[in-house]
Amino acid sequence: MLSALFDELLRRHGDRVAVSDGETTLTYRELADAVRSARLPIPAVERPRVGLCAGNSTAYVVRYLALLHAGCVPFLIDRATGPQDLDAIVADCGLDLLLHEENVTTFTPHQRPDLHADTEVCRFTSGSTGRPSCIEFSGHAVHRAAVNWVDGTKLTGDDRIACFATLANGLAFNTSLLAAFLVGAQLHLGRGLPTAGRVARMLDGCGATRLVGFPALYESLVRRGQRSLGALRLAISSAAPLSPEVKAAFTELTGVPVHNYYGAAEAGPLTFATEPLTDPGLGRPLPGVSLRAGTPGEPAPIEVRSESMGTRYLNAPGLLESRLTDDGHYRTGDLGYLDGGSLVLTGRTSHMVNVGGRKVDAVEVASVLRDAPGVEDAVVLEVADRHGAPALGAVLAGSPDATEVRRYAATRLAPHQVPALVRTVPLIPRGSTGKPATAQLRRMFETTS
Amino acid sequence: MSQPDDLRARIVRIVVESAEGDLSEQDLVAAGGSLPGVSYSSLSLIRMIDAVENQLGVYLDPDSDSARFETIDSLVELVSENLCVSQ
Repeated sequence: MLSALFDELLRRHGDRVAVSDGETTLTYRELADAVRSARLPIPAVERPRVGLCAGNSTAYVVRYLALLHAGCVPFLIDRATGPQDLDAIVADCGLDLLLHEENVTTFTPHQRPDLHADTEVCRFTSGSTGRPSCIEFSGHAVHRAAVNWVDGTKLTGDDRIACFATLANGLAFNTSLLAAFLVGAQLHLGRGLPTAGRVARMLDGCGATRLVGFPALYESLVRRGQRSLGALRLAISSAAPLSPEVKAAFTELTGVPVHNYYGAAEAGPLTFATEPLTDPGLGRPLPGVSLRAGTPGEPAPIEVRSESMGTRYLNAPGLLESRLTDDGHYRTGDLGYLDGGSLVLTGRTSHMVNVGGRKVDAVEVASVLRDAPGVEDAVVLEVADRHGAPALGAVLAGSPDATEVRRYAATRLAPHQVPALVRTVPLIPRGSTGKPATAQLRRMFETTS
Repeated sequence: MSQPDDLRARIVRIVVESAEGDLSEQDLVAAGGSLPGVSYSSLSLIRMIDAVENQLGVYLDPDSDSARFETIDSLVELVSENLCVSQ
């Protein structure tokens, strides 16, 4: 259904600007032409599985739509995925083809796990299985995520969205791609590092009314003391909580409110703070979302059901289903409560940590570190870096060289999974139950300045 | 205008102070001035570019000049060129 839906939208919005990356700008009509004339080396198999692993560009959007148009199932893979994870994705999901920025790799899959009959798009989340989990989405789920985002955030055809999150990421995929096209808005794609200088230039150049980005982008704008952001009316921060100080400083500088939202890779966008100056948390549930959490003073695991839920994990049969309650609510792994209807997060129920907007599986990283030269044991945890920002920390037991261990990790993990801070000890301190003494470990990273 | 040695010392200080992890000037020297060699993270890079832009008044584009962000030598050269242009 997505291919037919996009065809109809591209026809409907004709000569309006659809997408731009600073170098190339395409109207909806030009985008339709580019999709029709795209030449991709698609293998002659049923429902070809094609990985798309590239940064933001108009070419990315053309390829995504061309794949849907050709009856393929696009697998949207974060460009920062490490080599080991990428190999695992190709093998586990039975990919036939992988499209990078400039090259193409074809495969003859050894195994081809069955795709669900309704699956039209697959995306990935840092798995708790030690490798990325591939989430299957129906066209209906992708469509409803966009419809509910448009309704819940009042997106209109007059909006110009500047999106600095990569399109493989749930934030960008759900808030910017189909959502923008549904209403005929303009999608301006930011590429590369979101430094304040380049963000400000882009916003000024395209007259963006909405900005979508991770906390690092807002922190950069605040550090630079950026006051003028053109026509910007609304800013959206997600993936990791924006610190209240940065949020307040950004609004004070620019006059633009930052709207928090909460989403889960498996369930899509879930909440949106329509009144960011007074909202105590991440906002109220979006249309079509049922959300359960604790009460103030008594946080509880957050459970959600939405119209944009993933169907299952292609490469981990039964796992997603095991995280559903009897009435179909997904356990997100976050803890929180509702304050006057707005969701407030208080922590995690699992060992996934959120560093700079990317979820990192602490167990997976620790397991890689344990194989590094000189390391006998390892614990990975979220700590504060010397700027007070969340960072990935590792405590290593044995007699390792910390620099060597980080180099070793960099060859096996994605850059954001490599611990920024490393401490070494003769033995990992553990409590009576054998669990690492987290509070004691965390104190090792406290700065004295 | 800064003399090259002054500029270099300033940039080394900014690089070290902007690092997300523990990084000293000695670590940088031991890695031959290579930022990938000390596993300089993208978050550190954003902070470093902000600091260079704030303190030296130049605009740096990390993508069009990406290779020039890999060593202290090439970074000093890049900043130096931009300083000349902006003056």
